[in-house]
Amino acid sequence: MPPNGRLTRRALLQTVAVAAGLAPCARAGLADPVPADFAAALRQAAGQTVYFNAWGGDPKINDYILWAAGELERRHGVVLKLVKLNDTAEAVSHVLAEKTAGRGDGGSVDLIWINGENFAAMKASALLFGPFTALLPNFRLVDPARNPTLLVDFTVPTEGFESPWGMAQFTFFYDSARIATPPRSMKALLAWVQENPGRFAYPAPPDFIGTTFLKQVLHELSADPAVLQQPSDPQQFTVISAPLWDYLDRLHPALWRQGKAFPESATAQRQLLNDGEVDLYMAFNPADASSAIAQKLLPETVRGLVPEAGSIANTHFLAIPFNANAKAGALVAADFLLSPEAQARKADPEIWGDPTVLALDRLEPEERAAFDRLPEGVATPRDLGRALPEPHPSWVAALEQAWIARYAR
Amino acid sequence: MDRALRPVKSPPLLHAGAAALVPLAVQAVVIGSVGLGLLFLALPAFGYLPALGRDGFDLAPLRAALSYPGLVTAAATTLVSGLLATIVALVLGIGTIAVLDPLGRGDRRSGRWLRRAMLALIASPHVAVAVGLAFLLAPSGWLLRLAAPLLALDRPPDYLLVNDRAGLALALVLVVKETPFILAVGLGALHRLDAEPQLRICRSLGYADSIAWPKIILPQLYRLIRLPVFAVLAYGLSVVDLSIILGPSLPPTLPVLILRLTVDPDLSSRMTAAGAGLLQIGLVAAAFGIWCGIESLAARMIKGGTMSGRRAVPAWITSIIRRSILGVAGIALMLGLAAIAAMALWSVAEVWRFPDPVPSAFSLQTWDSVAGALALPLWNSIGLAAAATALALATAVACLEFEDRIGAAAGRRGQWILFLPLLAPEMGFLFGLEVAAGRLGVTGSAGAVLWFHLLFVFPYVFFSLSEPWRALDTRYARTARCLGAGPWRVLLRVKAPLLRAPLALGIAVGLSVSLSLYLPTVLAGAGRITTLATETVALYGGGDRRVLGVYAILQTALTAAIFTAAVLLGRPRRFHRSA
Repeated sequence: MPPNGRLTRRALLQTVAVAAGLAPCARAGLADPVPADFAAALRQAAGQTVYFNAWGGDPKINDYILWAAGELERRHGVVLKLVKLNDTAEAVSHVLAEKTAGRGDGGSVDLIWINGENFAAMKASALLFGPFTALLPNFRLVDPARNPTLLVDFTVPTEGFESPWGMAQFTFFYDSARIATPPRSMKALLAWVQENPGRFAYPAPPDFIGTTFLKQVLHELSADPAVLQQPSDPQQFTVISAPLWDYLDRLHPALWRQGKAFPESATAQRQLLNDGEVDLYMAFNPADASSAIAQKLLPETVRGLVPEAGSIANTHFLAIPFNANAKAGALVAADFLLSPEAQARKADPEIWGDPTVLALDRLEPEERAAFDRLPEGVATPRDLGRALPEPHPSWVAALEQAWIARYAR
Repeated sequence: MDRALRPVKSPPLLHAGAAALVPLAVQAVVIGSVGLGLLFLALPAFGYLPALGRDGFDLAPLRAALSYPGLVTAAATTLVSGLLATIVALVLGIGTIAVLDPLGRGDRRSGRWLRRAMLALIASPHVAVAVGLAFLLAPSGWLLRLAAPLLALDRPPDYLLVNDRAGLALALVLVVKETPFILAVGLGALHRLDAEPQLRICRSLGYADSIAWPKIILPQLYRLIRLPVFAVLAYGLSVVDLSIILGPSLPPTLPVLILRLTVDPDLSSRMTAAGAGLLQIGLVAAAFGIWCGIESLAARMIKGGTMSGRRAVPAWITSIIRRSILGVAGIALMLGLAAIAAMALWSVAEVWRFPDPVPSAFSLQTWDSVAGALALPLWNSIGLAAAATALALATAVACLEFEDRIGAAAGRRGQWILFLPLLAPEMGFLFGLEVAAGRLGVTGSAGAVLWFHLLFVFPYVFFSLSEPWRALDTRYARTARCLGAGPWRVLLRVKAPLLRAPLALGIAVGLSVSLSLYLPTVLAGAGRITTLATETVALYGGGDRRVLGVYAILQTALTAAIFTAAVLLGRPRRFHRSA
């Protein structure tokens, strides 16, 4: 049972009540009735405007969404508008502010690009609409049996409250012109950094990539990584995380700027490599460097690698807030973004390079051919190795707080 | 006859009644907005947030904020860099006026060039100047790229200048952006003071200009620009975007720390953030207190100097002071202009890596690829700025006209209220105001964005208009009344043409302030209404200086065009003999 079972169940009950037509005796006033099936959703969606809240820092991702918006309008009459966020939590804040203000419908956010702690927080506070994935025809093309992260987001069961959109695996990228034999484990990384002081940096947690770096180190150093799948409890935390702090205490003096300043985001860290200030960077998208090289944002000598022990992997999703104004339109958009056509385009490193969530053997041959035709990125690791599971979300908060308390006071 | 003798300041009550409503309404809207913002900040700060099931009142959020790791350091860095930046910007701004244009006439060639350079800096978006400056000063930055061939560097050295822990880089960008602002405001105020006859009297008493100016003109000038100086101080203490780019990272400044808390996925952090928001308000209040202390200290020093009756300072001392002021101000100006130039170069670069002094490959591809996505934010920016400025200008004119009709004292009472939105820290009241707007159900509408914009646009428009308006010789209006013109006719046919230049400047200032607003636009618009400013900040996250360069140059060009148009439109009308 999830740790926030009580709240989650309440959310489920509310949604079921609404879906079963009990809404009049609950808090009524839904401008947009919840569609019973996808055909109904398609009918209702025509003419709706869907405000899609997504991190908007990357023009190539924005262009992809613009393409999807054009297709959605042409095929289904759904107007998809991208609301560019600097941080997904901004959208969570909006929904929370609306709930505070008693706005139970007609909300300003229709669809969110989300995963991890943001999903856990929204689910626990009953801020989500659903379960809805069973309504989506294209959800049948996903094979959760092969990849558990499709149904378990940072150990929190998705329970149909979010629909998978893309895959991610923590990948290291290095400049092969400067490093002949790159470090392939976190221990080797420490040794390399100590030999080459000032040539490595990681974004300061709570940045997503910075926190994932901590998780990767902890996972590799920990005697029993299975405990990370359990909620972290304060007493155990000190013992379990001790090797991590010992590692960082030794790493920091040899970091870029002696660890006195940290890049403020993953993209800032990538820019540092392009500026020649560091020789390594990390990203969640294995095709990040291939795509950045194509855009001339990185030297052509950059190559990717996954540590020998494997690396943290997860899935990113699309969710619909409880008070979304255009739920039918959001469902149609989520389904389209899950379609083989949209997924194949997304996986193209020249367009975005985000790995697909679809099980290729469930596709029609011509749909699969679109994936087979995709160019292999020059800097994308050929073998992604083992996918390590994300720790329970409570570890994120615990690690971030402990990191801030140790290094940012 | 009888009518002609009636003083112009006691018009029929009917006009006064209608006009009197305007300033009161403005004050009510401002107080209401700031008050609502503070209320919805204070509620969660004291433990009340029903959406998270917290419906009691306690001090837990405040306590959580106070014990948050790094908060004390963050507050101290914020305070020091904010105060330091304000002092330096004030000294440089006023010092430059004293050296280059002590009478505020703008007739010397140096003065004209100064104004143009200032304009470029005022017009460029904060984020772009900050990114440009960071790129200039970083170990892999432009300055070292230019020097790299001489130093035989193949990889950048590892030193900490940008993001330094003391917040000096942050203070530097604030100085670069705020000195031109102080200069502009100071020149406007100096225009009103009529310094020439005063200095002439001093000269006749044997005082050299170099000592009479600080003794006689400076105190009067400072009194006129005091509110904008406080606004600069409040801005320096509350700024978020510049602080993320150039400020310290461990811990960040207090406003950035609050922002981090508000976007923490753990929703209960919103309450800690609200608590820290209250502390931020306390910090600004404390800084205001310290500033008042500095003011009275400076006043005592100047007074002591004045009472000494000293007629002149040795020429070598004035010369050192002049040179150091011009030297430092010149460096700040050059850094700012170089930052903009760097961004312009990036916008046409394809590849530009260390240690190349200029891009190794040029391309217009960035402009090409951005062009498609540009139209909507561009028109949104222009539409919003035009609407906000038109409303602000009409309201400001109504307020000032009320002053003329009722008597100046009544109008000036409560004038500081109009500046509340500039003095209250953004991270404090805007988040509360967003919740209030959500309650009213207007979030995400153009109306809400206009409302938030007006809170910031109006005080600037009002300030650029009020001093020249009050300085207007009342005898023009009186003469017109004597000739039988009604108050409306006097306003439209006498005052408006005479105030052509300040009206044009007010419009330009209003437009440029609206164009630069980021946080108010995002919060009121729920991110749905995109402008050049919101796009620039969103794209900053993408880490592509080329794209940022395009937006920076566009925003600078747009604002600069507006100011240039204002200068041209504000030129006095020529009267031709033959029609």
